[in-house]
Amino acid sequence: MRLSDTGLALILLVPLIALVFSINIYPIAYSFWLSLNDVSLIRQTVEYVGLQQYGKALSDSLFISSLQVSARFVVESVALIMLASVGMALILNEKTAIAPALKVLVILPWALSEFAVAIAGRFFLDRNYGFLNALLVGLGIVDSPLYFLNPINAVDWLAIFYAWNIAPIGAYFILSALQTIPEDLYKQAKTDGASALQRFRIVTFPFIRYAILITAVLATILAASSIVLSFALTGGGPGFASTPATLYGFRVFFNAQDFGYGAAMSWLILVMVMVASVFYFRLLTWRR
Amino acid sequence: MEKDSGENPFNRRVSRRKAVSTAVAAGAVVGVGIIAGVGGYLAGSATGGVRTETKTVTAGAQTVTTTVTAGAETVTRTVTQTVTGTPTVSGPPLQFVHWHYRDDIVTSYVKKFEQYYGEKVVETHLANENYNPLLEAKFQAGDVIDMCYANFFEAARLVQLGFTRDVESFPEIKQIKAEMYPSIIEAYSTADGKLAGLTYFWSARSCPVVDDSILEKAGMGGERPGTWDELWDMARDVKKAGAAEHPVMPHWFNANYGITWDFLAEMSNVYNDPDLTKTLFNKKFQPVFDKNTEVGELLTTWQQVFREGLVDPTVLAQAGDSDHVSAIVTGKFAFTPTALYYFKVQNDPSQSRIPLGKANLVPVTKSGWGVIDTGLYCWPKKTTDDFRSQRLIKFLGWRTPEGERLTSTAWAISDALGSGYTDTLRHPDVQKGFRDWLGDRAPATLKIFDDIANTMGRPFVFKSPLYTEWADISFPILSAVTAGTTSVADGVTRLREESDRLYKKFHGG
Repeated sequence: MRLSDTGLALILLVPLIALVFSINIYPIAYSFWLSLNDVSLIRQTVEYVGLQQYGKALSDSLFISSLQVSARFVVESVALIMLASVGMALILNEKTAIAPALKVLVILPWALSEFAVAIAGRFFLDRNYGFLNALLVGLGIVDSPLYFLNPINAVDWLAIFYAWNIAPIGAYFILSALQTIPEDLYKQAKTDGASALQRFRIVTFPFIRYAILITAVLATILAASSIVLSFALTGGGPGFASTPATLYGFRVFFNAQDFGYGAAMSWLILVMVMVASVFYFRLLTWRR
Repeated sequence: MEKDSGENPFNRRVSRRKAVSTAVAAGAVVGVGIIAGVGGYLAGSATGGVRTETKTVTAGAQTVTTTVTAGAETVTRTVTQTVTGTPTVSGPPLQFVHWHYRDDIVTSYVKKFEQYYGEKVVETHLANENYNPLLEAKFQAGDVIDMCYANFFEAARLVQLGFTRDVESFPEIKQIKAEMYPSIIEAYSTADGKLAGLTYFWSARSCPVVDDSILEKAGMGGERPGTWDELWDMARDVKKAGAAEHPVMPHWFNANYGITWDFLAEMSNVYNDPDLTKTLFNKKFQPVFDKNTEVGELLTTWQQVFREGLVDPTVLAQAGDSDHVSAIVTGKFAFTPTALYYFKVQNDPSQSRIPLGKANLVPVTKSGWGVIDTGLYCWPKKTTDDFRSQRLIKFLGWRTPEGERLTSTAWAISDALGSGYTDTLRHPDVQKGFRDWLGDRAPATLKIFDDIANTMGRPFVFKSPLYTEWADISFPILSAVTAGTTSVADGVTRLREESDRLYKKFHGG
């Protein structure tokens, strides 16, 4: 029997579909099912509660507070990642003698795990043994060490270190776009008397716009799902000041083993990230 | 599968040393057969009747005949075995699941066990940060585990979940308990009074350590607080004298074993309520506190000392132990209430900047110090072999068959870890070990260890499965109240609401 092209294609796709189903679709569907139930390991019971877990999350002041922390962390870190990525890419695109060495140095932070970044952050910021305080006190800029990871600024520092970790990959995306720009365009713009800023706006930006948007989408998704940095650098503290929704959900799901509630939180976070992503893609296609 | 049951006179009658020396003389090592025989005998006795078995492992002839009397019955068992090297136990290897802590030492103990019995043990390490959920996931997945570490509150939970069982059925349990501190038996027993596992270690968190070099600068050399209130008063004097900017680095780091355990310690110590049943959760696990009780009072004190700058504010953004220890060894603090096992680190010049000999434990005088930190060897329900797993647990968690307290003395020497057994700190090797790093301060320090073991907080709520969830919920609340970003009234009210919810969830109240 000879299979049609469609039949053959379907047969060839079966393993892939099975794989995607088992490692992607099934866990997602299972977590949604969990979010509709109250699962108790101790009582060994599963009770259908509908959307109650979602209602509980939306009226949980700690969850709301953690969402605010997440939003602030995402906005700050994405802004920093974008600025740093574009800046680094522009520098790396210059044809200088040190450009090859710079390309290696720039990518290094991205090669670190989030956990290592957190440890580095701790040794940089700590009031008692941190490098930054030692430097500031040593240079006489401050009289006594500063309390960087305080309730007001802890999230800002998380964003800074997250940007340091992620920006290199954004820089490479943008650098690859920059390298497609014909040199002649810059020459013509210069001939027409365009300033550096005008050359960036008229020549450079149209070429790197999509790379920037893709970097923004990626940075948003990564920042919104980040958990290790806050877990290891501040423990979410002081108090609840730097606990993002992902860390709160993780603690509820894994540590407290409130599976239904934790799953509901994860779905709410997912929906929010999806909304942000759709917004970015709308932006991406807007000028088309 | 061989099963163990009832009193076991075999262990006394079969001299392990004798068996080994006989085997050595014959150019072989004998033992496995004997021990397997014990299991076989017990399995036989469990099913009733007297059974005589002869087991020949290899030809070549070494015969060990053992006569055992159990109750009114006499059983003769003959094992003939010749082994040309290390004896081996047939069957799959034993599974030992533990967290990371000095894995090198743990593996060395395991190797000793393997050599002793000709066993094979597979060690599985789980990440410390999420040890409990990962362990439960393994049990849920139906994994066979022969022995696992657990903190006591997790051990009690595992028993309730049906993943592990208490060790009351160990034949030597009366002897084991007789050798333990009564406070540790109480702390390691489930709500219905059954020992949840054998002791891996006990330690205490939030035991104040004083840096005498800073007290001397403040003109207070040698002074010691007797209570937490006195500690805060002394901290005020140290700050006033300018000897330290923030005199105290408390155990308030932002983790469920950080500020929450300090809260339990201080509640227990300040209000003389070692099991916290009068001030926090009663013996039915019902919450008994509100904003107008001791909890509100203690948190008001915390807010006050935080506001006064008596404590280093950065502690609230420390993520865990390593951040905390990095801070307490800087030598900047007059008082560092911490885990007993970090006291050795503070006295190690290669790890600490506190002048040598100046870090000292505060003695127990007017109130107890600290709250118990626990580690148990637990006995899962689904094992490779009950007899073999029990043997592994006893080898590490009690004594070797030759009576040696192998692990507890080693831990006490290497890491100043307490053992559940009272004789450990009196063992000459341990006393010498303490003298090696404390000099003539060793006897006084060992006495403080003993006093702390008898007086530290041992929260009864650890026996409830609600505890692990409560600990996770409580630490950000306690931290936020301390920092002043949440009022005491709001924080305690929230804590009470969560406690009521958890009580209802786990105990159906």
